[in-house]
Order: sequence, then structure tokens, then C-alpha cells
Amino acid sequence: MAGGVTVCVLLVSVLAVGSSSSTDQLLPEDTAYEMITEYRDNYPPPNLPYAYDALEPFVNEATLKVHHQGHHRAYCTKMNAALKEWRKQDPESQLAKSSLYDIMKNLSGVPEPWRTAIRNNGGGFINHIFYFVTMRNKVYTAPMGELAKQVNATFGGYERFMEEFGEAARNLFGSGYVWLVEDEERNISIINTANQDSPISDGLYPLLVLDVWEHAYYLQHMNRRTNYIGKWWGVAHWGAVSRIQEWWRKVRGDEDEEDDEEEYDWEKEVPEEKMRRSMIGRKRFQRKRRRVEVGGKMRDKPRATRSCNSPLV
Amino acid sequence: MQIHHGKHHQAYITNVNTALEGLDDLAALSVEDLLRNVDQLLSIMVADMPNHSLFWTIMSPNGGGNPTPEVAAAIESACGSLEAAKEQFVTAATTRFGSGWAWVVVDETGSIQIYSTANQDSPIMQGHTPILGLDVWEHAYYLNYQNLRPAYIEAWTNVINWEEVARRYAAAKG
Repeated sequence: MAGGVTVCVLLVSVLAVGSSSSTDQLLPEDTAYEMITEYRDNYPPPNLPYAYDALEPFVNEATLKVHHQGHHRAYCTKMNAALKEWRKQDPESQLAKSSLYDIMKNLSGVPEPWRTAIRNNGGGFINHIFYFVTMRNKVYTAPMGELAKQVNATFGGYERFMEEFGEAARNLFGSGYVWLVEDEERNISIINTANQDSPISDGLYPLLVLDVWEHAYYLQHMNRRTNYIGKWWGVAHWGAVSRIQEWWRKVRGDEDEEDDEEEYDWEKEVPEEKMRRSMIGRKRFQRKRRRVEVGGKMRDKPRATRSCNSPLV
Repeated sequence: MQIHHGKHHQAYITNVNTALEGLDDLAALSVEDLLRNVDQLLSIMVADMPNHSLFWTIMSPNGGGNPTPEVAAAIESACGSLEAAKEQFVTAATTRFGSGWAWVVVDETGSIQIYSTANQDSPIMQGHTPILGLDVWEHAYYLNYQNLRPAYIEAWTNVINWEEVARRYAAAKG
């Protein structure tokens, strides 16, 4: 009963907000990744395309703030410093004067000591852009159109995809990312990268990404990476993923000659049948009440004795 | 600390125990499964546990200050001075990209070396004996310091249990 009420409430808010969203309202921050294919003297740290509390309760405000203002900004600063130093010390280098995308694609052509700095910080800069823009609240949280067909064909359905992706994320040891990528032949696959390595360096085109560095979830979930993954499905922004896929194909000159028949408004609210799908991520996360027997009756386990539900102060 | 010890360390131990329980069924596993499990199991048994077990022992609420004379002498002969050694250690801990540990070890020639390793890789894998280790996985400092790893490293030097380090040094030499 409560579940049905929740769905109704969400549906109402979906319909209410839906009318105001459209592709006209795509912010520059939504397409921040586009600057990587341009040369810049200095790449500016992009803002988030949403407020810091916009992903609550899935990714909390404190996490986004430190993640964006602390980590992402630091990668940006260090990357720019490394690029500047390299360009100054190696003025003959053509690669140094190329776009960040070309540099990351040809890392072996970057001389040390800048190669490691650019691999780590350039990677950190780019990876986080994709991570932040592929999260949104109350939008499509399941693949649509061509991407849906690809996911079905490659993984046997969205649920199976979520299982495989989630398993890859759980099993990634240390720091890194899990990606859905596309290759030159339009095959999609799930891959991992360690630390801040980018799929771009392997000639692949990143679509959807999950940051599993501990900084991405520690403030909210502590060591429970599985909980973080479960919640993240609730904000996986498949509309952005489709938009990014289209953009990468344009970058590599692999556009479809005719426009797709169905025009998707990537930022639009979700129609009802898709909304049920999007509940999957949320439902998986719902916390089960722990019950214990007290005086012959089943009672909710008192909060204080549950293992580590709140951050330590 | 509570989460680090109670959760992470406990999880490693639980995983090892679970894996050990499954050992009887080894014969039934396919080669791929075996390799996959053994790899992870080995890494946990060989490194996660020993790394953290060492970590707890070389910290103390009464820690800090300087190394004991014997350890100080060994460090000075390897690095030139205690200050240089501290700088080397702090640099190793700060510049370890991603997850890892910073170490002071006794190497195969009996001298001190200072370096960092990735993830749960242990100096033991190189035939060295760690006498001091600092966990720089983000889980070790994130709740208190968030992304400010240098502040964590600096603060941590105040809890080093130099008696335990000296004990480990003597054991490594003897």
C-alpha cells in the first residue's frame, strides 16, 4: 500500500516537472565533455549541471561537494599545470598542441615526466566529467532507443546488464572505475579501469561510468560499496548516455546518415511505463527493517545496535 | 578507526574464512574458477590481513616523538638524517596514486628502505620486512580528512608506536 502511494506521488511529481524540461534547457555543464576534443591553454573546471543536493537521497550533498570541489578541481589544476609545463619544455611537440582527447588517446607519445601526470590528472579530469553528467534525479533511469536495443542484444536485458555492471563494480579491487563503453564497430561492453586510467587511452568511447574510488562513497556509505552501487542506479542518467553516444559517433565520423525516426528528449521526465523500470534501482536499495524478538514479540531492532548506520562523529 | 578495524579488517578475515571453507570443494571447481578465487584469496591472505595487523600494532595513543636510538641510527645511515627520512616517507605516502601503503622496511641486506606500494601489495612480496606501515587507502582517512591526505599523514606521525617499530626492527635483524 505504502509502495503504491509512493509510486503515485512520484508519478505526480514526474508529470508536474515533465512539462518544464526540454532539450532547450540543456546546460553547457551537461555537455562539459565536449571541450576535451578542443585544444585549450587551460581547461576550466566545469560546474555540476545540478545543485549539490540535487541527487539526494541517492548521492548526498556532502559527498558531491568534496568530490567536485576537492577531487575534481585538484585533478583539473594539476592537469593544466602538467600540460603547461610540457608545452613550455617541449615546444616542438605536435601532440602537446593537440586536444586533450588526442593526448589521452596517444599517451605513449607523451614524454615523462609529464606522461604520468597527464595520465593521472587528465584521466581524473575527464573521468569525473563523465561521472557527474551521467547522474541525474528523476529522469530516464533505463536505456532507450538504440541503446536499449544494444543492451538487450549484448547483455540479454537491462536487469542482466545491471547485474553484470554491479558485479564488476563490487569486484574492482582498489581504486578505479567501471564503464559502459562503445567501440569503433558500435559494440558495447563493460570494462574496468584502475586508478584514473581512461577508456579513451584504449581507443574506446566511454558512455556510462561509475566511480568506485572510496572517495565517491565513503562519507555516505563508509565501506558498503554495494549500498552505494544500489543507490547509484537510481540516478544513472541514460538520456545523457544516449546523448554522449551520439556525440562520440559524431567525433569519430560515424554518424547515421538519416536522423533516427524517434526523437528523444533526453532530459525529459519519464513516462509511466519507464518509471516503473526506474524504480528498480530505488527498490533495490530500500532498507529492510531489522526485526528481533523481544519478550516473545517481533520488534524493530533498536537503531543504536544496528551495525554502523550513521557516520561516526 | 572503528570502521577501519571493525569493518574492513573484519571483512578481509571473513572473506579468508569463507574461502578456506570452500577449499574442500577445490576439486569440483573449474580451472577458471580456481584461478579467480585463488588470486583474490592469495592477495587477501598474503597482504590485506598482515598489512592491517601490522598497522594496528605500530600505532599507540602514547605514540609520536622520535624513533628509538637503534632504529634512528639505521634510518640515518640509509637516508642521511631523520628529517630526510621523514620527507621521503611523507612523499611516498602523498604521491602513492590511488590506493596503497607507505612503508619503512628492512631489506634483504639489512638496510632501511622507504617506499610505497599499490593496493594491498606488501613489501614481503619483495622479500623485505616491513617495520612501519601507513595505510593511504582513502578509507583510512576519508571520514576525518576527506581529500586532505597530507593532513592525515602529518597527524598520523603523532601516533607512531616507536617501541613496536624497534621490536620489529630487532626481529628483522636478528
